[in-house]
Amino acid sequence: MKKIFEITLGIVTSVGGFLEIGSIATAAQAGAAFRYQLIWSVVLGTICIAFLVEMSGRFAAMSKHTLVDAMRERFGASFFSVPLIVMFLVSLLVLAAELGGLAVALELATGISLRAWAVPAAIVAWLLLWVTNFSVIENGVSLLGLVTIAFVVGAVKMHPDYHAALAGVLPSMPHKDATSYWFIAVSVIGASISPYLVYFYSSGAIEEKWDRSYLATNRAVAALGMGFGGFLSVSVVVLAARVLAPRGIRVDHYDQLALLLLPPLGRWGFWLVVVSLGVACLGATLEVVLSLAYQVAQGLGWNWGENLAPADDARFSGLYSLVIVLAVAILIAGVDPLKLTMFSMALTAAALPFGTFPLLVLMNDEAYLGEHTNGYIGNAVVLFVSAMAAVLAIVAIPLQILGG
Amino acid sequence: MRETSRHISTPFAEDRGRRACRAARFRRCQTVFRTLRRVCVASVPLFAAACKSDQQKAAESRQSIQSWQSTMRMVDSAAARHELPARFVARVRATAHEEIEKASKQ
Repeated sequence: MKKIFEITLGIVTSVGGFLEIGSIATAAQAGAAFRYQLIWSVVLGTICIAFLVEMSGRFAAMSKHTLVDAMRERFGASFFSVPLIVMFLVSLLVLAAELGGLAVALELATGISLRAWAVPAAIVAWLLLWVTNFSVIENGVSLLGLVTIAFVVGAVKMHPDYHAALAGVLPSMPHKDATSYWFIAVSVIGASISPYLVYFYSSGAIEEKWDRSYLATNRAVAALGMGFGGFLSVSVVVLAARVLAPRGIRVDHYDQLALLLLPPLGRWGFWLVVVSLGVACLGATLEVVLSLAYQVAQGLGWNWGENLAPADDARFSGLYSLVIVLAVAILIAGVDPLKLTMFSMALTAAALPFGTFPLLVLMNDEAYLGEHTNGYIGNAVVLFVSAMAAVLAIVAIPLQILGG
Repeated sequence: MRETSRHISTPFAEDRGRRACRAARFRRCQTVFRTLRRVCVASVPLFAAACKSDQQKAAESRQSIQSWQSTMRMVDSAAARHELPARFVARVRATAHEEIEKASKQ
């Protein structure tokens, strides 16, 4: 009974925590610009993140090591510093985007500028990290994130063309504006895969003292939780394809995002988008901050743990406080939050091999995993999606910048 | 005395080994440089295609104007049904006017 409860809670929190500003913004842009044609990028990203999450949980349960810890041990400090620095910088941009999303939700709700909301939003996030523990963050905020199911309700109420949506699951070449098509595709993949989630999940497994009895729970949470989460992202694509695309509205500004649920849900629609955006971004902000602090603290061998009192892991707590300040500084500098979101997601895709390739080496090492090393399918899927996303991103990002 | 001197007995041989090593490194650098040059030359047409012509820029501006006009229409009709807060409606109108003006100038 306890196991069933754990699996259910794990799936529910994964679903609630799946959508964040990156997934919402990129999926809405995909639907508004190319209708159902880019659904394949959400599906591809979701399959890859499900494999990665399952691997990171299995690794923690079997080896009692976090990924970062094992990476440093297996590859040595100098090699390890490369993925650490790349992932840190990319995750910092993602954090600024998530904090921006939270500030945008507050701006939509109150009319007060998001720059004014950046600092209060950051203080709320910091306070939650300072005074609560891992379970509150993982379960509490993610459970609130279930409000994002409103996107599924809205998509169904708009009576989408299910045949066209199903056809979008298969990759196809763009009929127009190829640069934009590929740029949005890599941004969607980057938003779905989010390496910070992998580090967060792996560290959470250690914080909650997982052992080999958690392998089945881990597999169920990764497959079902991420699967349903991906379904939420597809719903946003479908909604944008039914609400924004026929009217010729492109998502150039967050205000246009707020119109997504207006036709299917009326007055409630606006507020559901605002609450979904706020809760999803708050949850993602907490996860990215912790993930950044985990990466550095585990890499440098500091005391770490969200379940410890700040006095017991002072450098870890100091680091996440500093990381929040840096993200606020990026936001206050005047960067457009939607552009920041799109580029940070595309950069995440470009940086994927730095995180996934060392992970694959670890996942095939019997010294850590015994008989539970990776199978051929897991290796092939992660290798293929990471390499493809990185190549597409390296080509699409400069083209998009050049094309204005 | 260094351990390698057991295998390379004379200073001349040691010097020759060092030169061979330098030459090999140079060849590797040359190969990398040539590959990079080929990639850059091959990608020039791709990047040239990405640089938009005046016509394309004008078409994009028209599309942006149309997008914001549609946004305003949608917001206005929702506001008439009292489905949106007045503050939000006012802000979208202001942003839309600003964006349309910006696109018209391009």
